[in-house]
Amino acid sequence: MRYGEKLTQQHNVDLWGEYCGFIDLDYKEFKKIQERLMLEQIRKWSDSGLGQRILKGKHPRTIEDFRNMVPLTKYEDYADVLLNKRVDMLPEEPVIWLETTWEGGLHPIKTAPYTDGMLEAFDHNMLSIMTLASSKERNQATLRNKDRVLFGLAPLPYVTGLFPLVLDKEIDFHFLPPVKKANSMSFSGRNKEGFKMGIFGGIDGFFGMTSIIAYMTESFSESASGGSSGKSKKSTKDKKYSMKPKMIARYLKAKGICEREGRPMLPKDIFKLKALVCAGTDTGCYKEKIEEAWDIKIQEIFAGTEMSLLCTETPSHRGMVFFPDSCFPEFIPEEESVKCQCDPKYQPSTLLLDELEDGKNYELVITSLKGGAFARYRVGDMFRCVSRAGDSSTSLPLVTFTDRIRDVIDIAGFTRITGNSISDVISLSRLPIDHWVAKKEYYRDKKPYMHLYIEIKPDAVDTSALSVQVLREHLKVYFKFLDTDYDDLEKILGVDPLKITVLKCGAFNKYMEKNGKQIPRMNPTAHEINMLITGNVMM
Amino acid sequence: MSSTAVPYIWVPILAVFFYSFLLIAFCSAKKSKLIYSFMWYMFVSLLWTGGSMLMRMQFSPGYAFWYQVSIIAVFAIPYAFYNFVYCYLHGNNRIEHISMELFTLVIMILTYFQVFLPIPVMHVAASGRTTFVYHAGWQLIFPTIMAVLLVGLSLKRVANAVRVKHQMVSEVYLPLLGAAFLIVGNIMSVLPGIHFPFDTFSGIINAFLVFFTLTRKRAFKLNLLVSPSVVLYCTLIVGAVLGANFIGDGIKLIQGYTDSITAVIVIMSVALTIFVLIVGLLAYKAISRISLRREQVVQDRVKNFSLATSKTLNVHEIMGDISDVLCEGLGVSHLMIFMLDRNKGKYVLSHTVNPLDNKNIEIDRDVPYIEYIKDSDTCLLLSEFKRSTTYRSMWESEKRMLADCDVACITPIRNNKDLTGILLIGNKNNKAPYSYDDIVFLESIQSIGSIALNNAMLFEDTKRRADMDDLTGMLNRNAFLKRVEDAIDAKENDQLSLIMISIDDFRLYNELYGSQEGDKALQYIASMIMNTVTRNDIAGRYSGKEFCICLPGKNQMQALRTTENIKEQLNRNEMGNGGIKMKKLTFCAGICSIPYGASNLKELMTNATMQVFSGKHTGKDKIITYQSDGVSGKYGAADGDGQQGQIVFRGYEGAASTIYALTAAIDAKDHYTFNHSSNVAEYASELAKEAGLSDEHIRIIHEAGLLHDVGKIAIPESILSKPGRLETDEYEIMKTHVEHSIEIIRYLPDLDYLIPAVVGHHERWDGTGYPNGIEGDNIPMGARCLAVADAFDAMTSKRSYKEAFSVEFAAKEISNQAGKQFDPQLTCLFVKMIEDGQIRPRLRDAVG
Repeated sequence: MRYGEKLTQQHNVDLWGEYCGFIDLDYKEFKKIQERLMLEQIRKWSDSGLGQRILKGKHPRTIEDFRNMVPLTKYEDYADVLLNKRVDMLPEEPVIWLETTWEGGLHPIKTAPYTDGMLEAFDHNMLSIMTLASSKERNQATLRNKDRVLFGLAPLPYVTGLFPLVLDKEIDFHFLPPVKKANSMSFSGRNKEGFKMGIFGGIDGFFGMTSIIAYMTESFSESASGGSSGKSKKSTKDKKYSMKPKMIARYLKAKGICEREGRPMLPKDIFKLKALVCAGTDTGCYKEKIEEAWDIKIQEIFAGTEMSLLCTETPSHRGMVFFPDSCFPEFIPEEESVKCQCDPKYQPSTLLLDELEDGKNYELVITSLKGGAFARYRVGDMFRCVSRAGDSSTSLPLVTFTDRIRDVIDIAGFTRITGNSISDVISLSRLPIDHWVAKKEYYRDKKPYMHLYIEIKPDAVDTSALSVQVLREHLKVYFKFLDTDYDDLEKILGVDPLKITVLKCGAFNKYMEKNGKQIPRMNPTAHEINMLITGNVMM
Repeated sequence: MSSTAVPYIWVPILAVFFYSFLLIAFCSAKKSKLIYSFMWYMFVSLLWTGGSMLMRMQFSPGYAFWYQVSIIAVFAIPYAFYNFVYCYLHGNNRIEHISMELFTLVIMILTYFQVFLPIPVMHVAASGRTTFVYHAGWQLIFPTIMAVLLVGLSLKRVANAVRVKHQMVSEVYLPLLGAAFLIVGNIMSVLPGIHFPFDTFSGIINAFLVFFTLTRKRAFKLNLLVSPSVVLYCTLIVGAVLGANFIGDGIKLIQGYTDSITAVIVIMSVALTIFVLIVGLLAYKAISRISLRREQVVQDRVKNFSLATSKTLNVHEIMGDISDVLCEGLGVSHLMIFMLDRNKGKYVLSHTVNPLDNKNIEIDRDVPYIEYIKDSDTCLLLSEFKRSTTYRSMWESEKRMLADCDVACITPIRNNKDLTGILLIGNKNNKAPYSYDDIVFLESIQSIGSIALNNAMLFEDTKRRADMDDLTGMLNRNAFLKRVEDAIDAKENDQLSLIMISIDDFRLYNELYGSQEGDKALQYIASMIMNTVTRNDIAGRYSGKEFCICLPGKNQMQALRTTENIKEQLNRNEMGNGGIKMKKLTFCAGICSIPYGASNLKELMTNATMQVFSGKHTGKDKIITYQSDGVSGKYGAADGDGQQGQIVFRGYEGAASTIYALTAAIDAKDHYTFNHSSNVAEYASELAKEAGLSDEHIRIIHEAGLLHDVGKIAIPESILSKPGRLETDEYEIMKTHVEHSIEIIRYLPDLDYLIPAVVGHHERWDGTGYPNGIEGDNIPMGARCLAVADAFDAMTSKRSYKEAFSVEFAAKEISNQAGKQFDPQLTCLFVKMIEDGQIRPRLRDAVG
């Protein structure tokens, strides 16, 4: 029976039990599932060519053995096998290969194999998310066949591209725009078209990157309320004539209410969403505004090409729980992670889920299950443990995705800027920049941006016409040139994520003299930045 | 009773029948709040429809009474509907419920007192048509409001269940549809110009829809409702009512043929009775065919299964019975029974429906579905298990196994709390899902089958433990001998061969590598033997280093080939421990067959044992067959060239030197004993020769004769050479020489084959001898020969305390002891040999 049929023919209690029963597991039961699947994976992975290459002939039999024998890995350890799709080296033959960008890597993309078992778990977990997202309390599931769903996530071969395929198999959603049509459109075109269709006929479910949903929400309010843009005003009026009567009625009613209350029209005034699923970096920055605008709690999830669907929020929305059959997670404490970035040879120790401490940050390490390729793989994402003992909705540990590791600056989930890419940009721009540090910072409205602190070469100060404006425009050109995602950020979200501060000549050397070490180039702490800029700022 | 023509009378009759049927049927169902509410609903409907019909028919006690019944029921129907919805949706507003109940009660009481509607006036038209004129007053508004309120509350409850509690629409739409029919039917029935009783008809539809809803909800078990008695009573009542309706017309019809009132009454009564009975029987048969037969068949299956399993303690038979009854009863063609192998710690496939199915399937004890069913007695449907969280910990290989085996249902076989086995049952052949009845049937079989299977396993396990050798898993000595005896007794075996295998120098092997390695070697050889012999053959561990194989129905040549096969395997596979080459193991095998070389088990064993001893003496690593003409066929590889079938000639040099050394020791200690032993050896071997024993046997008896009193070395010289009779305590000491003889020979492994003859030479034919008190044929042949020879020499020798008796006296004394002290046949033979001069007294030294 498909999920769509179960929704109408099965009792909600059964449906909830089937898809969301895992959040009712206690940690012991959760661990039992994980350990069993790990034993299967240890056997498969250790016997594979890939596993043997990393294990160097050793054969772990237990999870403890495995954690002792397998070093922490990075994509470089798999690159030649996975990029060349060497199926003979893998633990199990994959059904599909997914891709993602390899920021700062040797190759533009990273590929990851997905086996039949992984896809089965993916399907199930996707439907768990759907059920959780469409319920305000336990034992609810309000989505139905023919619901209109706006899909604002990256298409295949990105992992999020699997979502509509899975859903299409299980339920008859009307995707806005239809999946086939969407696949032939650009990302931004798809989102715009989808939202337009939503305005005409209504939206029941919304899947998207948090930053995009935030942008669409803002644009809607501006255009529907006849904001600053005259074009927007005109287009909304035009739209009204092609709307469904139901939507016209809602629009007119909402307009009246908003005029009476003297506030801009919000999506919640005309849309009654059943589910709003968000993923991506900086969700926390946008969450509050989106929830207010759509009058629904966001269901935050965490997924990635290498680790599949990994976590989802529980009904309390206090944090995310891990799916038991997706990956086996381990965690590197933040201090260890930082130490490792300074000394790449350092092998940090890892903790298991029940060893985390509330309020602390950890770098995620995953081992794929069900014949996947990755073992003790450092994903490059940081998590915070919200509550190891769970809360009223679950007794499993709750975590939140905080950001990428310090080496990477991820703006709104769109672009991932590394130290190397900034060096390349500066080098290509031929700007006389002597030293720089980059840090992800947030505006007052919680929007993220990259703050580049630079020091101009002393001899160029007299000969070059340099201003912050010039530097910014100049660097932007090369950022866009090297990183198409950066370009998208501006095109799709209309965000300019670069802020530049020029420091007094010699600031870096002074810092070095004072502290005996160089300031970290990527994401130094606020205190370090303060020390660097004190009294030497030229804006 | 007067008969009145009522239009469309079949509609109310049908309704009455339907309501009565459901009401009576539900009387036998297990009651719940919901069932009671439904029964109340049917009861009120019955009163309404039946009362209305009987009112129109002016049934006794009169239309006024039936009107009261009908109108009270009409005002009770809204509450009945409300109450049903309340129970169906698990309502919990008790105040509202009790209020509605009280209000309805008040309305009903007031109705009885005609507060709302007085009894209608009956008018009979000139055409004979009867009409009832109602005079409704404003008071009628109260029960109407009450009805609307109750229906409104019911609808609100339904809407609330769908919206707030997310009750499935499919669960509530049928009762709602029924209610809609009822309302529309009642409205239509009051429209002018309509004579069809839509109200009553809609009542039938409503009752059917509500009944169907309960069926879907599995609120009761259908088979239990439709019992034969229920069917019979219902149809008899309805048949009687129907028949009574046509009595008037029937009487008129009969009166056309006869004027006799008596005849009319008799004919009418008989016709009515026959009609009622036919209707009743037809309905009874129809229902029986539809559901009861199926029920009966299921019960018969369970009964037959229970009977079959109670008659056997054979595990495989019971598994076959379980498999057959489930395949037939459920309509499945895939079924596998896995039983727990405690050594492996896994469930191993023990039975499949199709013999060609892959048998190499094992299930670990920690597989999630086993964890799932471990603590429950109910079976697990795979479709339900797949929806559980536990399923998520299943390995891909485990999922694949279930899919490959087409498993739909997993059932535990338990022994108290212990999960001793599991049943994996396939999908039904008609692809239908497992029904409630299937599960009930399955659980009955599982429960009976589990008990039967556990009992049988316990029995087989106990039997196996009693019969098996723990180390090798072969039959132990007793079980082996018992099985061989049975095989000899079985008439179908016209021939039977026995192979005795004794490992060479096994004591040395143990000393070299330790007893643990020795045990491994024994296990290895045992497994080789088990894998070589056929299913009909019997193999066992006879003693520490000896194995026996009995080949029923096979001759000596086949036995020889089997032994050669085992020897070849042993030669090919060298034992080794961690790469260290170990001493090569060899064995001596003796083969004897019935009827060629022996006629009973004892003889068979003795002869085979002798050939083994012979092999040991002739260089070991031999296979020797017994031939009764005195020549043994010897096959072996003593020269190490591995050539089979080569005859090896006798060579006693090794053993002979030991024997002479011992006899010399005897001679030194007691010269008389030395001479006596030589004499006994000669007499006994002559006797053996005369008895037709084989050369090997004769030789063994001779050697045993030489050493039979070797134990006297340990007897004090004062006793040995005491002149005169021995005192009792001295005689007791003297008797111990037998044990001493054994003790001495035991430490000479090359001579251990002499022990049976030596130990038994003081046993008596009547069982009063020593040391073991065995009797008759149980005394080894060699010992029997020695006993006669020993007595003869003792009598014909001069001792310090006596003179030598004459040969004739000795012959007579021996003859007197035939059947008492000595084997009667051997005695006869010996006495005859004396008479013929073949036996003469030999060395007659008198010592001290």
